[in-house]
Amino acid sequence: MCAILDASVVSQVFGRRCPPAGKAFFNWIAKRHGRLIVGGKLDRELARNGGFRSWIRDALLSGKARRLDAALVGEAAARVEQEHTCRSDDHHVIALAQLSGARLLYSNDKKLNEDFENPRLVPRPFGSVYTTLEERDFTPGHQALLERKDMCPKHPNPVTPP
Amino acid sequence: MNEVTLANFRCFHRQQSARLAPLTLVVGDNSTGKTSFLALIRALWDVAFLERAPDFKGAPYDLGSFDEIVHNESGNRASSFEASFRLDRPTGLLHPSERRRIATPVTFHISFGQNGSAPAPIRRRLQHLEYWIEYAVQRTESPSFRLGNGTAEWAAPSDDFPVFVHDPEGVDLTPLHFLLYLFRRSDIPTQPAPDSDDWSALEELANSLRVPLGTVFASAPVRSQPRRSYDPARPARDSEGQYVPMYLAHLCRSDKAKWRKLKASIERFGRSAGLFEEIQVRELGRGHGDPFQIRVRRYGTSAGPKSFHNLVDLGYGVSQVLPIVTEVLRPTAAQMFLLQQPEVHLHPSAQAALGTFFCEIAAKGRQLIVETHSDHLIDRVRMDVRDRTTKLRAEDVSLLFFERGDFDVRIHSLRFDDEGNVVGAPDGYRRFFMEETHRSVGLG
Repeated sequence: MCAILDASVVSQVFGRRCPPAGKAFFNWIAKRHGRLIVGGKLDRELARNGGFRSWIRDALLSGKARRLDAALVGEAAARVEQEHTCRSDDHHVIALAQLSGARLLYSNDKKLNEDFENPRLVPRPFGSVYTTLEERDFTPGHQALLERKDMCPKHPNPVTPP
Repeated sequence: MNEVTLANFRCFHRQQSARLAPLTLVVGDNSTGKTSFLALIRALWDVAFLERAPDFKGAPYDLGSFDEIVHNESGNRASSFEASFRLDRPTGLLHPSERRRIATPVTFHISFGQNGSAPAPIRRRLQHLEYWIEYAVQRTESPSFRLGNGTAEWAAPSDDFPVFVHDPEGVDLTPLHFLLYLFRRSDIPTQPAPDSDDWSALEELANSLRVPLGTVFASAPVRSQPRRSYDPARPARDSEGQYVPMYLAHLCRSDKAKWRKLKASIERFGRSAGLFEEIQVRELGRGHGDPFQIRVRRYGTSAGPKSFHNLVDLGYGVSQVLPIVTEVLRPTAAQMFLLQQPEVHLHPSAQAALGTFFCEIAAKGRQLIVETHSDHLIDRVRMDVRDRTTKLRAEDVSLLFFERGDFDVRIHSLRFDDEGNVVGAPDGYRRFFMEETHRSVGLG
């Protein structure tokens, strides 16, 4: 199950004083089946956060994070921008979703959230947004999002021996 | 070997498979059966390709007697254990019409029973598509040799069929191709008799283990201590690398061209790992029987009359890694290497360099199965695959994670993707490391 974390909320997940919804998102990655998708411009944006910087190397080695090739993400972001469908300027985030198959976005950027839920930009399975704009506590709505099973169709599930 | 399947062996109860690649990294907590797994691979190799009795007590392994090797859960000891491997064959030179049949993997299965106190093969079965050949030999029953093509099955009556025990310990490892040869030339009536296509396919199957695959080399987790000087001796391989100084001296004296080539390759690794610049054999006399020393010039120092130091006077890392590097690079290197913790005593930068070194060797066609606790080594392999630093591709690397359960151990076959990401990691993979990181970052 894969998700993308927008740089605007990175401190809600990797900061010392996270809201309950941010803490639950982190635990979903750290202790459950969550995987974080990073790559390209977003990777550099997230790396401004010290907590994320300290976490990402081990997360990549552990399979808790998946990093996409920066050049591929850049090319895809350029294509998204040329289509003029995005309301936000976060073409690189949409490109990550298109390339990786990740269908959950943690973001408090209203324009990006609309883009992510736009089926012309993020086609089936449709994108969902995990946000703390209205509620910083961990709500049943947040929980339902973390329990979706179709958020990473391009990423193989854990291999289980016969 | 492309895949190993096992059941009822040591801590592995249920049947499970592990994907092997040109470079396989074996990871997991202590006492999760990683070394036992390596010992099983060597045993499979010995039985399949060398027709040699499996030695589960031969250095560097000591798995004990049959009772200690067969899975024992709460006093319920199994009577046998099973192991098999899959062999995918290269198809590049074949006519397209032949590829489907030939490209299908051959599976070699062995059931191990008890022979005295040691395990011995009691059933060997070779299968390719619908064709199979099986030879079973049990103490209490007559041997049976059977073959089939998916629709028909043929059996040699044991009373009429010769049995060749050519192992001094009484383990019957008569080659399957020889048994097939005897069967075909016998006048055993079979209805319907195998036709020429059947014979052709069965003989090809029986011969699939006769390809000259070379030997397997298994290294010990701790290599021998260096000595200040050595007396020349026959350089016979051993798992701790005691023979390596003798081998280097022997090559230096007997074949200058090969010595120069090997020396250059060893030194290339030494420089990439930041360990040493140069290695030399210093003769302490003129005769072939006179002692000698192994000396190296430290990394970053320039050549001069006093720049060489005895191996004993350098850190342990150099003397621990030198036997492995030499064994892998020597002109008559084995086809498969089973390496236990090659990174011991090495600085993290040298551990990482060892990762690149293994990628280079595996890309040249050797198969390396490396048991390691080194994040630096694994991370370097991950990055080399991503950056295409060597010719090794993502599909050429397998990462086997051994995870302890309540009653047995599960092997998870993980892999890297083209971008160096770990794919297929279960939740328990590297849990300790992640928890330490979370605590370190204040997210625990």
